[in-house]
Amino acid sequence: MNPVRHRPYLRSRIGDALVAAGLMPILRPFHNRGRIPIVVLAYHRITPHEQEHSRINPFDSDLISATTEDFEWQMRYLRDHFQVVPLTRLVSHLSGRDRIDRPTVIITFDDGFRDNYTYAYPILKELGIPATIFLSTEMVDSREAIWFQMVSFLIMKSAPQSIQVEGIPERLPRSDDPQIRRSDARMLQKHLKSLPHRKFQSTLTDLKTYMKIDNAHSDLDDLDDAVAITWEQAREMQENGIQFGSHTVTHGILSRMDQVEQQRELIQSKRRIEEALGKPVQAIAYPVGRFSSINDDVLYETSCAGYRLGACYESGVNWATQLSPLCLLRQNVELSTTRSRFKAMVGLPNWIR
Amino acid sequence: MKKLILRILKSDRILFNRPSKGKVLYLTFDDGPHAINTEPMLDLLAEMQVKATFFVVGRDVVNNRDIVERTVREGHEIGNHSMTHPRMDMLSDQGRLIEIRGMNRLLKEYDHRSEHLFRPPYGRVSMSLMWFCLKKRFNVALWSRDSMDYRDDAEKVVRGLVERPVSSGDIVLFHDDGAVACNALRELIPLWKSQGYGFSTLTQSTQS
Repeated sequence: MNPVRHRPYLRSRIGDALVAAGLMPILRPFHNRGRIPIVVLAYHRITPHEQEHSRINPFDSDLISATTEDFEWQMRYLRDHFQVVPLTRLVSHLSGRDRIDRPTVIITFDDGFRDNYTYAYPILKELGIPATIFLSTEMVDSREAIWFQMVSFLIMKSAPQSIQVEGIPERLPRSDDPQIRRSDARMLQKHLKSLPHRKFQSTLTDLKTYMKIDNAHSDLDDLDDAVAITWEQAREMQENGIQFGSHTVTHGILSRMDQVEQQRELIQSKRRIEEALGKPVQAIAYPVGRFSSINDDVLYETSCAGYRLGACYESGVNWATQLSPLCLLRQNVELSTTRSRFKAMVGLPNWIR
Repeated sequence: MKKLILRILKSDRILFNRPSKGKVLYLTFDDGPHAINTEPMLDLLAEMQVKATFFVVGRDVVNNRDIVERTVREGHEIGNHSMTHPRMDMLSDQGRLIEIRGMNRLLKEYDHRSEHLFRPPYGRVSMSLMWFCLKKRFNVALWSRDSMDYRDDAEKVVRGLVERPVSSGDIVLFHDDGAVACNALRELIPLWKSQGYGFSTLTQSTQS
């Protein structure tokens, strides 16, 4: 295995063990060293039961962050042990008016899947916990599933060898084996992410035609789970402590676009959300969000478009007095995140990523 | 060490004031461009034939492009007041770089210069911010006289600057996102002119 990947893995295992052994209170002063940690958590989908997973699992299990049960436990834990603030609190923090002076957690959701409204929102509302949801506006407006879910669906449901994608030598899916299908779906997603934006869009359009041919009669309900919330739902959530940020228009990768496309993605999505919800949008989560998808040009255009905060999808901690507001690190919660690991992720975020 | 610090303080890297031979004042305006208040200020400066330096904020520049174009066209200097006006002392080096370098890039579209004076938002500096600016060769412009126009009314601003008179080389801080500065300067500029002061932009005087 790649040694670079090995080290954080080992470190996080040690971290889990230390937390399980109850050493966190002793370790925290050494971890913080007088600094104030701000932990931003990244969630995607929340689904209710185990069996629900196995149903959705074929499509994109990576996108399910927690069961409702785990999510509720996590929120209760945060409420009891941390100050949980809305993301935009960082704006007032940075103006020096309302400074963050103790360990703080911020909750965010990417993509705004429908289950954020059905399952996560009731819990957040009950506990009075604020959160921010990042919307890809085209996904909300079109009521279509987001592209990577669509791609997974296509590969999982289509007949073997039925799909030809430019740039991939073999026809997909390579066989009927679910395991192979799953790895093909990941591979195709990765391939799409690597394309320049225009190429990406044309390939996606091609794939959508397959969708119409092959799945005209198949059960599309499963994919329905992967649609976004509606503006109506967003407005209701906004009344109860949920804020909304941009996740661009199309969920395309900004660093692969030219300047005009970048500006369109950044400005139009912001404007659309502001128009639909009537509140200024100050934050964005970069689609994909790896450092490789956020270069200097992206950061520059983002600040020109009027965003004050930008969330990456790289893990780590943000220190209150050493912030990088347009490049906030986020700890991502996954289905495999155990309770002790969750405690470690928020309690020792610089070590346990 | 002491000598080094003094040398840095006396160089152009960090400006508090700028003593020169003649009687010169440097008017500076922060936090613009402002959709309503900046143009009256430009009108006044044009009427009185005074050149000044505007430390503008990126997010407002983008929304008021024509005002910035006019500012440059009328011979004023534009300076870097960051992209989003955060407390720079609370940012990481990466955060600072995005703010300052991004703003230099934006300003270059207007005045075609690659370097600009940087004035930290809220006037907040820390040792680490100063060190960062030295390392990255961003020249910092602070001020020697604060008009307090963000707090007081025009009458009080005038009184403050008359009772404790300005001296040659002073960099005077105003804000053009409110109307106070404009009202105060309508009285102050003729007064200072009658005392023999000239007015200059900050960088122009470096070149001359």
